[in-house]
Amino acid sequence: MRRGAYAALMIFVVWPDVGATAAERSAQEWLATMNQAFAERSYDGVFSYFDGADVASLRIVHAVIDDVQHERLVHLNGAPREIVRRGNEVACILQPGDEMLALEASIPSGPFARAFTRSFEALTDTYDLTVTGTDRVADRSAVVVRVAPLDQDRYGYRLWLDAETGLLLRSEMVDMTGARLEIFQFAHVAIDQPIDAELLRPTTPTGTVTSHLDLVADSKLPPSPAQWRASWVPRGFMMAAWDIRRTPATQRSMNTLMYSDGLATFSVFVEEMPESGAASLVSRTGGTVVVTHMARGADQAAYLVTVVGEVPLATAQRVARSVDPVGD
Amino acid sequence: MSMKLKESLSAAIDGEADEFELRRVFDEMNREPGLRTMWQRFHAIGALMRGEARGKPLSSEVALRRMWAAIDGTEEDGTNRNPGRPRIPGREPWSARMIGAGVAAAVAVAVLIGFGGTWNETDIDAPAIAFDGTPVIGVPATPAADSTSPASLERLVTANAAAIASTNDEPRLRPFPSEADLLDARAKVLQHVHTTALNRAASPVPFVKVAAFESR
Repeated sequence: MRRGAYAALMIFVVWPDVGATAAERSAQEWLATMNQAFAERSYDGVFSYFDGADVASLRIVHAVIDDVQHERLVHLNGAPREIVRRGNEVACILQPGDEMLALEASIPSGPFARAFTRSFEALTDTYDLTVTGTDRVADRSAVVVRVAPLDQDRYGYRLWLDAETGLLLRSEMVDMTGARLEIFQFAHVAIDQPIDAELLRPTTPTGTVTSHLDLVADSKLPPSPAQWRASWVPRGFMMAAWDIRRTPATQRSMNTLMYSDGLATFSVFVEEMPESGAASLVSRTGGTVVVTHMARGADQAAYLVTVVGEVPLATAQRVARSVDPVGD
Repeated sequence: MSMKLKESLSAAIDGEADEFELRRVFDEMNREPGLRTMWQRFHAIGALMRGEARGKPLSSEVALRRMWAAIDGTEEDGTNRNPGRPRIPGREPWSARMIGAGVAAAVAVAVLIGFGGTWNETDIDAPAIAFDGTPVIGVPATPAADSTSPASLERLVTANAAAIASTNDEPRLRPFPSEADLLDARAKVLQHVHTTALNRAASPVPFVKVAAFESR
């Protein structure tokens, strides 16, 4: 019934009309405006991010120069860490000894597969999108959008969007118990003010290490077909990308599958069972879960399946148990 | 511990105790350290028990009603949210199933604090607790989470032998993670975060997760 109502509503949905008043825009239009604002607006602000265990403070500076997005994220607490984006090029500026370097060295390196993305219209199959009211965040008027899942297989969200520009000012990820798993919130943000290009350049004091994250240039999927699949995924989730790479240290082949419903994502890693074995893990930190499972390959050998993503534990466990070789 | 006291403790944890029962539980906790430890542990693992970890989630209607209410900032009946923990009329108390349940030696669940946590034998200082037939050992005796604080503060890592102990001749996943297992898991989380960030470049939030990744 709800989906039927939304299907009817979809007929009248048009691409965001910046001239429409806050009350006139639908939730889908607000989400589209939010994405446009992230990509096209200039902004410079400081925000807090609660990941379920700790609160981080970061500064973000974003501008579009010669039609190319430039962005710099600076971690304001703890070890200095910066992320600089220029178009599809992303560089992490880290200090020697940063644990991220050690972790990156233990996972397959190379470019990341580009994922298919779903439009916000497709979200209405799995989420109820509603503009629920107005509020004030970072001293700016905000429109509140509720993104409520239609089943238990994913989390819900509450978004505060700048009433003037649509920029996300605050977001909460909520689980089925009503607990807030992750919170993002600007404390201060200047929008559409001139950005000094100097603010977009990384600070690279002597000794810093740069780690590059590259997205493959074209949208083609890897030439070799996926060897594994999740035979059950929640409704609306689709395999958005896959990759087969080898770990640098052990040269073990690792299949990586990424699934998304347009908002939530989870990754499935499948690799030969290490000679030293592996542990059965069921964990959650904030909104991110990790579960492991042992599966049999087509060769009857044991494989380690690891599911990581922003979905409920039960969902991740069910996905992990459903992983099997393609063709089975 | 008497059955009556167990029932009172269960009711208190689930927010269903009356004032008399609450006073009785707190009085007993002052007298009996073991009861206080049990209280703390029930709260520490509450988030996992409330539907997510058991593989037997709350009924979909109840769970969705609760989530929607949380997103709306209201109680499930539509009234303004009480700062206290939301109550679910008719909800099956998870603690009731835990208290008094037996321990199945073949199946063990170990709980660590955080991904970077290490197994601490000193944490295993109280009787095992079981729920739905699955025992829990080594639940860290952390202070009880504030009922209004996000359940996710309870960063728990569990090693679940039950999921893989299907037959004796199959290779098994270890019930307790080694440092290498935790490092491997963290590396995969980082790769997931990287992939998600790169593919959702329209929003800074995924990159925030990269920047904030375990930097503490």
